[in-house]
Amino acid sequence: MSTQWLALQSFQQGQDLLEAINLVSIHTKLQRDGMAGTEHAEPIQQSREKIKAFLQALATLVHQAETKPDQPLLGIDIRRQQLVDRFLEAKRNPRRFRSTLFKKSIEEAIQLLTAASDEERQQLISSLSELRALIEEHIDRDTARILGEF
Amino acid sequence: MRTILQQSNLDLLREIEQLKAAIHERFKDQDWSASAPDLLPYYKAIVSACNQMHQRVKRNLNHLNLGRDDILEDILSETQELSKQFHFYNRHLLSPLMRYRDSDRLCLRLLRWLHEHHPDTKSIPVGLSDGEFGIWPDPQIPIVYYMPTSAQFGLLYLPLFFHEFGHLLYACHKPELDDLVRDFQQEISALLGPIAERDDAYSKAERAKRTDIIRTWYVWMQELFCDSVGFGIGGPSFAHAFSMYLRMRGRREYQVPEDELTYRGHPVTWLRIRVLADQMRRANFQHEAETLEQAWEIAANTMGINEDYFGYFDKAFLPLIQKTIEDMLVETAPRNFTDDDISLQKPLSPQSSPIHLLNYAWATFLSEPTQYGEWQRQILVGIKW
Repeated sequence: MSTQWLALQSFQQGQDLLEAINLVSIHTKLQRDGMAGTEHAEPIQQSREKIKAFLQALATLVHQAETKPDQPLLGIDIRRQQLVDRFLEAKRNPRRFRSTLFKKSIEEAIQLLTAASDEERQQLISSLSELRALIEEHIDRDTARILGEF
Repeated sequence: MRTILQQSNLDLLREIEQLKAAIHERFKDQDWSASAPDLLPYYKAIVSACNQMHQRVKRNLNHLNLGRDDILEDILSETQELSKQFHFYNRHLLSPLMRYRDSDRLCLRLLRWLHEHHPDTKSIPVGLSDGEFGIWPDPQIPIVYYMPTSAQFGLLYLPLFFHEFGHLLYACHKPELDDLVRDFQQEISALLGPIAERDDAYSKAERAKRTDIIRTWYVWMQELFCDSVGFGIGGPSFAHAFSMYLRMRGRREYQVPEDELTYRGHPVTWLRIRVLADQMRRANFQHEAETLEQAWEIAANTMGINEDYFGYFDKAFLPLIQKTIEDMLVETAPRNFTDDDISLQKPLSPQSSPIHLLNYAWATFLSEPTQYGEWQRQILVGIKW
């Protein structure tokens, strides 16, 4: 009886999130230059909601981990725990992770999802880019487990 | 980069189209939807997923045609993720269609019945593939159940699907069940005693072990929940199948070294037998629970193995485990076996539920093991597809 289901869930959640990040990132860049059409408004909005829900859940866990560092996070699987650890590690690496999401707070990054000014849009693009790198690195292990290596 | 991405996306587009053609070719010459109606929703879901991936590739090509360099990194990520998704479908989700054989109908009928008897799963398509018992439990994708090839031709190990179904129920109710597991982890944390404040090496090691135990129980609790779903749906047939399937797999089913218990994907099987037997007793199957535990104790004694979970389990955990499982079952509400399902006085009939059939099969096997093969053959011939 296999336990690959844990890897699958982490892989699928990561995939969903990355698709959402890519869509919003492209849309925001086009929007910044006045090139974004309205024909994909619904998937873009759904993607924003998906990113927001993910960040809100992450914020709760990160807050717990930061306020009680000597206690394990409960009610989450080991892959989610590792994602939180990876996020905290990224926050301590300002040379690589410099966006609002890592330098300021998750809550401020959530606000950027409805960015209206060019400056805020730029901050959103940077935050999404760094979040994407973090998630891609995180699900690499799940990908190897599910798809194998060649 | 643009040229590379164009090549990769066009290649992906070609692969998806080739796959769709292969699926179509595989099923075009037979009226298979009539012979395997339980696979039809799965077939439709796979074709639909291929179409969605096709659209995503086209979206990438459209974005590339915008001629902007600043979105190439986004398209690169999107192309990579899409390639992985396609690879996942290719490797794992296609086989229930491409390897389909008539003998799958027995398993598919049971799996379809199982899904249809729960409001959260009735619209989720099912497929069958070869392998160790397992499942990809994500309600957003078509569900593949794995079963060893030899077991697919008979009745006795079908109840083990009910455990896998438990994983799907967990996925459908993840936030609520995670909360219950969190409460359970807090309670065993309290049972493990206060955290030593000293900073010496011994205290640090104790704290680390305690953290490992608490974290490990996240997955173990889910596995025990799935065992309970299995028993709740299948009744004694599940307990027989579970015990028979695992008890001859060697020492590791009875005892696992301490350093391998941390984050182990499953509790030691002997512990799962203990929890299952406890559940059976509470459901008034005293005799069956006794027989189940005795078989494991006799085998363990013969191998000279003492029951030891190295602190990862204590008898004081058991009431908390059962209370948590009860709450999880209330939350997920799987179908429970009925009196008719486990009645051996009531003869099998075309109206019998699959659960009645499976319990009858086990009773027949246990009373007449040498005659069982012929009995099963006649039963399977008699099933009208």
